Amino acid sequence: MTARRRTEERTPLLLGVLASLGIALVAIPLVGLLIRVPWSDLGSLLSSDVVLDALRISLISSVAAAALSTLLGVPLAWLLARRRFRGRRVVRAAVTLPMVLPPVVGGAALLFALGRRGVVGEPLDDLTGVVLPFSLAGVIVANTFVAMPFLVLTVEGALSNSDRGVEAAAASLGASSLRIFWSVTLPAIAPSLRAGIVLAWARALGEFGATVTFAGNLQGRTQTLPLAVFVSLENDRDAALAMSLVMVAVSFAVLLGLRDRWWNSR
Amino acid sequence: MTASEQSRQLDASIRVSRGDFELEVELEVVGQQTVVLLGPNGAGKSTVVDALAGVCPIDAGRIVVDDVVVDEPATATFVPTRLRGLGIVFQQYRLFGQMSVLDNVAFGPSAQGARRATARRRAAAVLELLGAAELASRSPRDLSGGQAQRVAIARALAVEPRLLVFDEPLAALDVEVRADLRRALVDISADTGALVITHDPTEAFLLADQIVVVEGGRVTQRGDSEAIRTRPATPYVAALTGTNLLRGAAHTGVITLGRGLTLHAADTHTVGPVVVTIDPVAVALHRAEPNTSARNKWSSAVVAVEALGERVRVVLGEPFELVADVTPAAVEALDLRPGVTVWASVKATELQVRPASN
Repeated sequence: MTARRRTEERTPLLLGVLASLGIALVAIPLVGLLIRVPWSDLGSLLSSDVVLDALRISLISSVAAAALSTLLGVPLAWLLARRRFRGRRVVRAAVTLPMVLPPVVGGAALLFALGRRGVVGEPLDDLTGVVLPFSLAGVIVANTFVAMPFLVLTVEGALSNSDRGVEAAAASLGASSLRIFWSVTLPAIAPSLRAGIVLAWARALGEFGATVTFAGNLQGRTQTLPLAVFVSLENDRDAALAMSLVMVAVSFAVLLGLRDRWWNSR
Repeated sequence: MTASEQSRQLDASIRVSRGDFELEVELEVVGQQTVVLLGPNGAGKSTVVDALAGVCPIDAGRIVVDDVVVDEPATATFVPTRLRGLGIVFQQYRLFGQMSVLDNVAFGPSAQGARRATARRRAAAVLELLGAAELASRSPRDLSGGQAQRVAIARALAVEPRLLVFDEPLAALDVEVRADLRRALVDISADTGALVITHDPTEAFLLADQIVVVEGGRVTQRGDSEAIRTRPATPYVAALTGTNLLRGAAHTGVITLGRGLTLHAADTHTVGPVVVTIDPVAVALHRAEPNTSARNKWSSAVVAVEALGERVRVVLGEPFELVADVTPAAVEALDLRPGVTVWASVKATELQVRPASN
C-alpha cells in the first residue's frame, strides 16, 4: 500500500472544534442512553404488558397514519404541483403548517374541531356514533395530521421536477389522466414517494404532543411508545430505557435506509 | 390509388398568437404521403406540433385529422390529445423509463381498452415489424439512440394512428429504419400519412413527398424536393439546399444515373440503388474541357446564376440538374450567365454515396 497523501486543505481549528461540539451534543445523549440500557433484562422488559401494548398501538397507528397520509397526500401533492388554482399558496402553507406548529397546538386544534363538542366532531358523533378523541382512530388522525406534510412536500417536489413530456406522450397514446397518473407519473417518482412514506411513517412513530392532547394516554388504547416512555420515566426507568432503545434503533434504521434515496440527492 | 380516392390524413390551418409571435401555417397530408415541415429554430415548428397534439389550442383556423375536426375555435370544437388518433414520435422519444420496451409499446393499445394479453401480443407484433423484437424485455434506459427511435416509432404505430408525427427525430431516420417503417405502415394500415418536423434539410430531402418550409411563423415555400432544391424561394431555403442530390445505381464505384450517364465515386463498396450528394462548393466550373485529375467532367448549360451572399450559385441544366457555388470573381472570369455552356468537374472523392431505401 502506498502512503495516503493529503489531498485536502487542513480543517480550520475553529470549525473543527465547533463541529466536534455539534457531534458531541447529538452523540452524548445517545451514548448515555446506551450505557444505561439494562441489556441483560432487555427481553423481559420489552415483553411487559405496557411495552407490548405501546408497541402494538405505535405500530398500528404509525402504519395507518403513513397509509392515510399516502392516500390523501399524494393526490394533494399532485394538485399542488400540477394545477394552478386560486389560493394554491394558501393551501400549500396550510398543509405544511403542522411541520412548524407545536404538536400540542395541533392536538388542541384537533380537539376543538373533532372533539365530542367540536364543530365537526359533534355532528360526526350524532350521525355515525364515531368518537375520535381518546380512541385509536384519534391517534391515527393526530399522527396523520402531523406526518402528512412530510409526504406532501417530498412528493410535490418530485412531481414538480418530473418530466411532463413523458405524460404528454402517454396522453397522445390515448391514456386518460388517471391512467397517466397511475402508470406513468407515479412510477417515475417512486423513489421520492417511498422516501415520503418512510418520512411520514417515522414522524408518526415519534409523535407525542398532538397524540397526547387529542387522544390521551390510555394504555392499550391510545398509549404509543413515546407516551409510554414518558410515563415510564416516572416509575420504571429501565422500561423507559428499553423502549427508548427500540425507538433509537428504528429511527436509525430509517435514516440509513433513506440515505441514498433522499438526503444525498438533495 | 388515385389522389381523389385517398383520404386526407391531415388538413390543418393553424393560427396561433403568442405575444409578438404570429404563427400561420396551412398543412395537408394526403394518403400515405410524407410531408416534411422544415424550418430554422424559432420558426414555429414546435408550436405546430403542440397545436396538432392538442397541447396548445389554436386561436383561429381548423385542424382536421382523418376527416374528424379536432380543433376549431369557431365552432368551439376541441378534442383532447388522447382522442386525436395521432401517433407522435417525440423529440427525445419520451419512452416510459419504468416499463420494459414491450410494455412501452403495449401502453397505447392497453390505454385504448385492449386487454393486457392482447395489448402485449400486438406490441410484440409491431416490434417485430420494426425489427426490434429482441429489445422487448430491455429497459428503455439501456437503448442506443437508434434503438430508442425504433421503439418510439413502434409505440406510436401500435395505436394504429391516422397520422404519424415525427417531432425533430434526434437520430436521423436512416435507410433501414425507413424501410422497416414503410413495411410496418403497409402492414398496419394503408392510410397512415406522416408529418416530419425538422430543421435538417438532408432529412427533409430524403424523406419528403412534399416539403413545407416555415420561417418566422409563415410558410415561405412548399413543393417537392426537386422544386425546393432547384428553385429556392428565400435565402434561408437557398442556403439550406446547398446540397446536390442525385439518384442512381452504383456498381464498383461507377454510378449510373440513367440515360447512360455515369459518375465515378471513390466509394467502391456500395452497390445497388444509391443517393449521391455533392456539395456545390466541390463542383468546379471551366470555360473549356479542363485538364484536371478530377474523374467526373462534363459540359453543361448554365440555367441560372444567383448571388448568395459572398458566393454565387450557378444552376446547371442538361444532362442533369446540378448546382455549383463559385466566387463572384469566377463568374466574371468565366462569363457565367444563363445559356452559356461550361465544363463542370467533380472529384470522385467528393461524391457522398448512400444506399437508397428502395
